[in-house]
Amino acid sequence: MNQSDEELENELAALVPTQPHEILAQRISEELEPSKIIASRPLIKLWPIVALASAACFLVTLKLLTPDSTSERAPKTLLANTIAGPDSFQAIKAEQHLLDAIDEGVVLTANDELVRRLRYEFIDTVTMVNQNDGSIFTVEIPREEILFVPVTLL
Amino acid sequence: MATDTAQWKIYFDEWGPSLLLFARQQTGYLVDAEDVVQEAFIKVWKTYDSRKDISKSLLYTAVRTTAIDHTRSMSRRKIRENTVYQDQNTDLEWFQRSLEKNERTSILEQKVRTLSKDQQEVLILKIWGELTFHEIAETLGISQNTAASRYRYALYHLKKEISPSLI
Repeated sequence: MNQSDEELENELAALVPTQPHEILAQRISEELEPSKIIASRPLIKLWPIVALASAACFLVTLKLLTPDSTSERAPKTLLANTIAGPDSFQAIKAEQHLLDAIDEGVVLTANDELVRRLRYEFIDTVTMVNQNDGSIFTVEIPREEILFVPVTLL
Repeated sequence: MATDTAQWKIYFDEWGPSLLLFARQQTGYLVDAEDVVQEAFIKVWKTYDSRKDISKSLLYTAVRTTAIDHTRSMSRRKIRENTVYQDQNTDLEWFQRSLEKNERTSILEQKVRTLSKDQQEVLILKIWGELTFHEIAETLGISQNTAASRYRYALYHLKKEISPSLI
């Protein structure tokens, strides 16, 4: 590195970043009250439960929308129960469309673990047909999955 | 906890300005940057009990990932509301001004802002974050060579843009 680089570095280092507003320190101070720390810490631990619950809801929805030939409840789809009238609906197609997959790099969890965060965005579509009049419609459900992959920094 | 509560203020007073600078570079907006610093700092500080020490690179990593999340949510909001988001803070300065060096500081800041985003973040982490290339590489998820290369290019572009007589 030549002298000019050093001089430029020194000059840049002499620039002082603007100070954060005092309100920002106050906001942090309020957040760091002990009761709030205890209350907010388990949030990230709940993620797997939330993810499983979401997945379960989606599967249950699909199950309800898909007629079961062995069950007497088959015609009573979810929509048939919620939409007034004698119409019955049959799910004829269910798809998952991956919209985006992003590697967001290494992040720190509340458990002090370094993990790589991968974010996937899907649109789940369920196409149904009205068995009375043959009309077809599609329900689109946006969904986001975040995967945490443990990493080790060398 | 009272001791820890006082302790966070020491860290924040020391690193707050450079964290905010990095967050501003990441988000582009002062208001967003303040939100990001708040969220990241609190997130990291909650690990203080187990660590008994907080590294700078950990804080910068948290700021960066929080800024990514924040920017993504902002993008979604923008699309939903179909509005044009105006940067009302572009005239706000990244660095403190002094009477004798006001013009020079303005020139340097302007040139730093014209660097590519990749070069800006490495420069900020190296100069004002005082991180090593190893720490920068960890923070940004790149190799040390890439970090050093971006840093050298940043200096090269700055020197090229700034009149030699002013250096």
